Amino acid sequence: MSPTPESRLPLVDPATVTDPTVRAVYDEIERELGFGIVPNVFRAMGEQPAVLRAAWDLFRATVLQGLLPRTVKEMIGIVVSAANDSQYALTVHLHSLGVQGISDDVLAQLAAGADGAPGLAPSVAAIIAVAHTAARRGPLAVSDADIAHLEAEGVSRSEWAEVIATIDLFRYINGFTDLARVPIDAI
Amino acid sequence: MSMQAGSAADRPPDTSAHTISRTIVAEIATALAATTSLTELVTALRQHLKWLLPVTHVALYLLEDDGPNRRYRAVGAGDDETSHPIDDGLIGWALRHDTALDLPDLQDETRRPSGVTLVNTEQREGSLLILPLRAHGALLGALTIGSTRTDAYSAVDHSLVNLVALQVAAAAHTALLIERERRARALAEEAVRMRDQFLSTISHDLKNPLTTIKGRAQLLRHTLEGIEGPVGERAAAELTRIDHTASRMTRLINELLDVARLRAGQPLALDLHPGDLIELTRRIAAEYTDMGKRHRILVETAAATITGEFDLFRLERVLDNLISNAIKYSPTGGDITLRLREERAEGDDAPGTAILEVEDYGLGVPAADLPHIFERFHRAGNVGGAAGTGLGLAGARQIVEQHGGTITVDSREGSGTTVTVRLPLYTGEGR
Repeated sequence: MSPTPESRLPLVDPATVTDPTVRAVYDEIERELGFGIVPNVFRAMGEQPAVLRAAWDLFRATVLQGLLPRTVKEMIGIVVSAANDSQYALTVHLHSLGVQGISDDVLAQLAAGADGAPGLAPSVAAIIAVAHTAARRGPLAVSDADIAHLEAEGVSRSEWAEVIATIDLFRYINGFTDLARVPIDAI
Repeated sequence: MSMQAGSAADRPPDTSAHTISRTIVAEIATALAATTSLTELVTALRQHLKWLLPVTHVALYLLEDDGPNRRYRAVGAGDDETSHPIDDGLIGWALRHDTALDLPDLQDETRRPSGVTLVNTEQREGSLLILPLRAHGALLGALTIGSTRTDAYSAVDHSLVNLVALQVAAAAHTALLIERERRARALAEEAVRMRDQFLSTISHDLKNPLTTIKGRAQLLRHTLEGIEGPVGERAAAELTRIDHTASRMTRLINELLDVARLRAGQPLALDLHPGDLIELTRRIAAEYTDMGKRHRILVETAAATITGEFDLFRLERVLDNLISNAIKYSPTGGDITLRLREERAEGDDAPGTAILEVEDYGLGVPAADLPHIFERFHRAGNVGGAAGTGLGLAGARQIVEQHGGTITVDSREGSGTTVTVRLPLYTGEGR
């Protein structure tokens, strides 16, 4: 783990923000995310209200809504962030899953890139495997056979679309947090 | 709930994966609790269970009744809903014994209860879990979870599906209650619809002959107008009386449908048109004057017209009701005065209020009954044998209030009653 560097973007304080768009987005985040705080990644976007609005809407539509369980989507987040060696999302979502009761050894297995954890439902294991391939070897490495495997395990087309969106969302978050050196939240 | 027949799969229980599954069970519980019908429940189960277990089919079966020949059938999203006797099939076996069944290989007859005839819709190969569902102490039905693989379910899976089955039982119980309530409401709405249709048909059928009576009476009166002398005059007066009585009868029939709605406290759909309250009042008063000689119906007003937007047919029935009450409760006869005036608000352009008072000098209303006089079915203690359902004033008040007006009663027992109706005179705007 690399040492926590100085943020390259100012972290807007939710308590004093005046821009109405930013204010509204921060209110939604505090209400809907379940952490009771505005994570630093969204504070770092606070000086670009339109980007913040779009990024939060994307996060909300991808992770908080949809067909896949949030747990599975956070697991994808861990797999992708571990592959990118991106500490911000990795730490935040490890923490989130830990709070939900998932044991440290499973989290370590996921973070270490172990190919799924034994005992996962076959549909979830197949999704995690695809996320691994896409994150470690690139999206082009995901083969038709991988997709056929997902289908055989009962993952529907719309659920597959959500898997793609989730993998890409975390690639985006990883890129943003690494470039901006967003400090990990004190959680 | 214990598992019978067959052993746990070879897949080793993995406690760490178990913790992931528990968070997913919690998400499934949230999704199930949000469902309000059995179809939604089965759909949600099919959507979510695959994140927990290897699963190719999920079905929900409910017991149909409590009799000795109980049957069960699949419910919800698109399954064959044919019912089966509880003596048939593996599901019947699990329900009869109120025991969960773990069938790791359906093709292997030695690994399932002996002597069970399979129902034609039942899964034939792979693994099947059958979990009885109980809610509030009663057996509700069963949840089946199947996979095309043999030995698909581990010991961990068994404990997870038991957790899920508890959630499904609670959600199914709620969905059944909601569906029962929906059905009862639909039946009640259908009954109201049928009643309205029946009354509307009856009203129509009763009005047809009345129209003929009115028409013939008017025709005969015109014919008699040529005949001079007391016989002709007498006959013409009697025919006018027949004409007016037929009008009143038509009004009462029109009221049938409204009465049914008013009894149920349902609103009426007012049919508003410009009209003159004075003209209306004079016409009704004239009809009553023709009908009885013991009471004099007087109309007092300084205005020539009081015009506004009214449902004249309904207001006609309000007036009819107030006048007939005044007559009914003045058994010894006497005057009944209808007073009309218009009250203007500040500024000449502002719409005013029409005020109609119906005053009699009859029995009056006892003070104890005054506060209840507009309640449905309430009748004052001193009305004795006077006929009536006690519905009229409640209906009159509803009609007046739907016009945006008010109706009040002032009365002293033994000296008479004054009913005051106030109606806003809208100009067509601001409604």
